[in-house]
Amino acid sequence: MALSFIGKPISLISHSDVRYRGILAGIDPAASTIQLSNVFSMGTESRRPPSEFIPPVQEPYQYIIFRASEVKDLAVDEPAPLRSVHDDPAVLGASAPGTQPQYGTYGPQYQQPVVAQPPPPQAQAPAYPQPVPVQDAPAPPMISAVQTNDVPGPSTGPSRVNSVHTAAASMETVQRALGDLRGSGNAAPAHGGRGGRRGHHGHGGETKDIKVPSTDFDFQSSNARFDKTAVAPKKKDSDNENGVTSGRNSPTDKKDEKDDLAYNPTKSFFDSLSSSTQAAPPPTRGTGGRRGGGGRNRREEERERNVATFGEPGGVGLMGPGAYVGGWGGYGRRGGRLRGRGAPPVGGR
Amino acid sequence: MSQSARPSASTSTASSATPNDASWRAGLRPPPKDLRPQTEDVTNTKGTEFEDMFLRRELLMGIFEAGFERPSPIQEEAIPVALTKRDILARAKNGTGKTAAFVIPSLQQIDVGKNKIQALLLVPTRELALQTSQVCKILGKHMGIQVMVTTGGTTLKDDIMRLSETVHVLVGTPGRILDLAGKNVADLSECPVFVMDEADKLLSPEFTPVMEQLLSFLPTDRQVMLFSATFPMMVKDFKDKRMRTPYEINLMEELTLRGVTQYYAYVEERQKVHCLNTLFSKLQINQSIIFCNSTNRVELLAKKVTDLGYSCFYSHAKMLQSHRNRVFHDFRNGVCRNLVCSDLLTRGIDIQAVNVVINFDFPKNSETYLHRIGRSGRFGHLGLAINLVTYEDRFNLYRIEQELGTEIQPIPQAIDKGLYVAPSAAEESAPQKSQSQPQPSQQQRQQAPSQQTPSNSRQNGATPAPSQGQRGGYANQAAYRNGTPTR
Repeated sequence: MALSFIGKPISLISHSDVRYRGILAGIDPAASTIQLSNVFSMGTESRRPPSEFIPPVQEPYQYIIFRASEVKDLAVDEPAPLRSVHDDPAVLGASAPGTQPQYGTYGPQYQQPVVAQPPPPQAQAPAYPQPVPVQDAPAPPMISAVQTNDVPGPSTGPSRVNSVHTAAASMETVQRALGDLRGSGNAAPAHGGRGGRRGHHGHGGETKDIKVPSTDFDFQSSNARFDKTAVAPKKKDSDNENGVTSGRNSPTDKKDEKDDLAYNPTKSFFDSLSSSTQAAPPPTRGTGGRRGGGGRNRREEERERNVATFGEPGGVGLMGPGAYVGGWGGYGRRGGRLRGRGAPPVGGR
Repeated sequence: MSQSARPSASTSTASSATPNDASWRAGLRPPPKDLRPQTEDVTNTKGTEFEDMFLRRELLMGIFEAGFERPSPIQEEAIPVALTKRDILARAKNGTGKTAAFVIPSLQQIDVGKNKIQALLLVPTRELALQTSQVCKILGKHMGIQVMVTTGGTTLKDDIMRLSETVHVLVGTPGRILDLAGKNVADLSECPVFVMDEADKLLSPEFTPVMEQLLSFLPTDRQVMLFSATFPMMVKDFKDKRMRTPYEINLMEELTLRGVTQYYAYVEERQKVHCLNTLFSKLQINQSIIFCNSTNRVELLAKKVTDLGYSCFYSHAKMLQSHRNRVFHDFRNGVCRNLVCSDLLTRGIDIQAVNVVINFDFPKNSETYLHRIGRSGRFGHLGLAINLVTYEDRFNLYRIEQELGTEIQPIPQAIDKGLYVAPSAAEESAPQKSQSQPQPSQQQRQQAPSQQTPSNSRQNGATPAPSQGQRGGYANQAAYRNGTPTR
């Protein structure tokens, strides 16, 4: 998912509030690290009080590996100029369009009731055209001012307060942040997990118009872009390579599958189909809906997905976007009780 | 469930159990026959007749008047065993007649003169409760049986009042019934028949404790019957603990229905609406059910579909029960062609006119998938299941195919109408554009007092409209249908 961002320019803000700009070189989910190449450290910019200011570093690092747990926020730097100086009524004319990034739209108007003021770009930007950081995450007073990550090479200073679960959550944050920016919105990896996502992209709150083209959807060419069998585990006897497309044509395959089948009436009355109930990690309450922890994240994911699909996040009831979390759909009545099954069956994956 | 052609005023085949065959059947008015072709999922029987089952005359009358002609495989297997009061564990495919397979023996065992609840039929959803109680009423029509349906989302008071009168058969969702039983309002102490439809759903972790408690209100000498198309291992616990050497019936050689052709269309999230629009314009949909993975998406999609110029209703668990009921009732009666819904209506819902199911959002597990696509191809008829699949869904697609042992093919450029359109309807042209109502199949007919056309009177009624502009609901939506879909 996020892999499609390899090679893209990225802005990354560490928990020390230092922003780094570089090219995404890799993400290692196992080690929970993110690697950028050709990295500029932009310093703390305006994210810290002046007393804690860390200046930018002029020279780029060849690469830096970041501990995902120490990454507060990250975004793809896209020089899509939504806002130009011409938006300012005070501007009569201007020369040389400075590539002003678009992030204005992520602004505070959407659901984040946090201090999201776009920091004024500081002048000391070196090589790059200076984008404004995606957004300022609510910068909670940091426990430590120790700057850890700006060492060249596999840096990542000793992590402190944040322990394992944050690491996972942050990694998820990272992945998802990347996923979000993909635009099509279908990239959000869907594990539950809690915590995540502090610097939240206003994405979910945006609306955009989904145009339905007047031409017919081209099923054929769309399907051609998809290899259904790609996810199948490699068969030892490379049947699949020999132009067998369906994956169940050859006798050997067939036999293999017989064993795989979740239901075999000759063996048992019962089946082992994946089901909505068993998919729920701990059967806390309700098969269908609100499945313990990941609730909030999942809703955010869904909002983003909804924007991708429908051009709006949905679920905005009478009380406005913020009310979403408290009340799905805005219908006054939700008799939760034990009939979870009807509730939004967003399965955990 | 309309069944294979056989003169309803049968002459020679009647067994000795029904000597005056013609006389008592003469007055019955079964619905017009459903002549659509059927698969062996429902035709592969041993040839038993309802008359061979030693059923009461009044019950037989109800059966035939409902348009049933001969038992489906599951009915043929289950009814005789159930009549011996033995516990049953029965597995049969979606839409092959399970409901009647337990309703008929349940009704047969009822003593109308006894003012007690004598059969408890449990289902997992409210709509399904309504549907099942309707079947009970139709089949028991000539028996003088009192059927009561009770679900959550309604006022308890009404239920309590109703229970002060005679109730022979109680149909409902577990929570409410437990409530009533716990309050000593529903007396289950002499209820010998305990049926769980969609039993695996009812025995999911959330429900199991409720089921156990409910069982404790029944006499120890009772008959427990479990029906479903899916039986995970989970159910085995219940079977071992609560059932006495149940008779197992398994009519499923494979899981999926023969009559349902499955396709996928690979899309990006943002292309889904476009893709659906194209499907609407190309397919000959008699009625369709479109599934989304959340209530919000149901509403968002319903709005889009309406904006595109197609009629649609929507239903999900967060709606008022009265609205849900109305949508269900009206969709069943063919007031509207498309229904967008959540997994609320994934199980058990039997609307024979549905020939296309679309998974706008691909489901996350096989069980859900199987039950969803089983909304088309009811009673062995032909149907289509179309899945919009994104890159994210690829693992689920693979897994579901593997688990179900089925193949979901890429959607071809043109879909053969023979795969999902009844021959009689095939000449009738123009997908979705015509003013004509969808054709509810005969079976639905009896449930509907009359074919209702959308009228202004319901304009401000039930369906909460998808959003701002569409608030009017039905009349509005119907009006959209008159025009050519915007394209």
